[in-house]
Amino acid sequence: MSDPRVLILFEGGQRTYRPGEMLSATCRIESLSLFEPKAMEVSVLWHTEGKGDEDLAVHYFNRVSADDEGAMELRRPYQFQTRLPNSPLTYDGIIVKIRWCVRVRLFLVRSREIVAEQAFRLGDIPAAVLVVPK
Amino acid sequence: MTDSNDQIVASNPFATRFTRPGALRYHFAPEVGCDRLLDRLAAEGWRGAIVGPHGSGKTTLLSTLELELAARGRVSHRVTLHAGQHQLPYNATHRAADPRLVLVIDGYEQLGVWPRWRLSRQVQAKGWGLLVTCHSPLGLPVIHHTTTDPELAVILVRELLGGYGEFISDDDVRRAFAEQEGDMRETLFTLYDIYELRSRATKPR
Repeated sequence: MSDPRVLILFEGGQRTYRPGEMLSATCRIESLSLFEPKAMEVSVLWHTEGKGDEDLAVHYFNRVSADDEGAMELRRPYQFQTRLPNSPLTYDGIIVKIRWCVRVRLFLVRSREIVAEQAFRLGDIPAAVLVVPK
Repeated sequence: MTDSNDQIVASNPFATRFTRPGALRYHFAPEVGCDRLLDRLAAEGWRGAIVGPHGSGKTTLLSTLELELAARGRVSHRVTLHAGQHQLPYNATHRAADPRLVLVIDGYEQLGVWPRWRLSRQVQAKGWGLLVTCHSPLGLPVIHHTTTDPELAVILVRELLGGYGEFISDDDVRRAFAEQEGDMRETLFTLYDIYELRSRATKPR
């Protein structure tokens, strides 16, 4: 029996947003009927990524739990929207990157978890250019 | 604003996020499993040391063992000591006596002789276990020596690349491993740089 698949779809297929723009997305879980979901957490967050310690901040968070009348909700596509902040802007650096993403964490019975992530860009900072000495 | 999936910041598979202990699983040699190590630790009265050089997987192994300690009904409390930290933080030992508790110290060699002696007495008095990582045994029973080899590095890198190995070859891994004299952490950092260099060379700007 294969695990349920979590799909994160940005409205209009948009993947790049301006600071302060509204992000709208839908999370859909496929093959969930075969499983007993306990809860789903949806977050919009940024994190750093590189060779050093990581930093992370959650901009939007919502948890739908099967306990509080959410059992049916978990089986329907979950739509949400949030106004993105002005910073930090996405940055494709060499030793550090700033990545924005929508992250969905699905909790199943027996402490099983499925995590799905879909990245998007906030702002339009060009990627760093690696200069190799000749 | 333009909109293209090419512009999404791609992850570097050698970033700390994917390589830190806990994210990367410890690879046991066939004759040594997690259960066997925990049996050894239990036989030593839950006192033991994981010994190995820098970047040989001590902290990664510790993270794996901690999960299994919980499965055996033990409660672990981890303290990480960094270079120059010769004393334990106050809250590390000011806890109630609890026979289930295993105090886990990553970087035990940082402690001076006197703090280690005092800790040993405290642990005994409170009935705690003590599991540490260090570069030499320092008076505790050694439950495992961590080592690395180039083929282990190749296996780890293949796992990290997950089938997207276009920028890093097995020979790159072996070369980086040799350059870093077997330090797996530094090997992965070297490969981070190579990955950045090669992936950027092929990216449209």
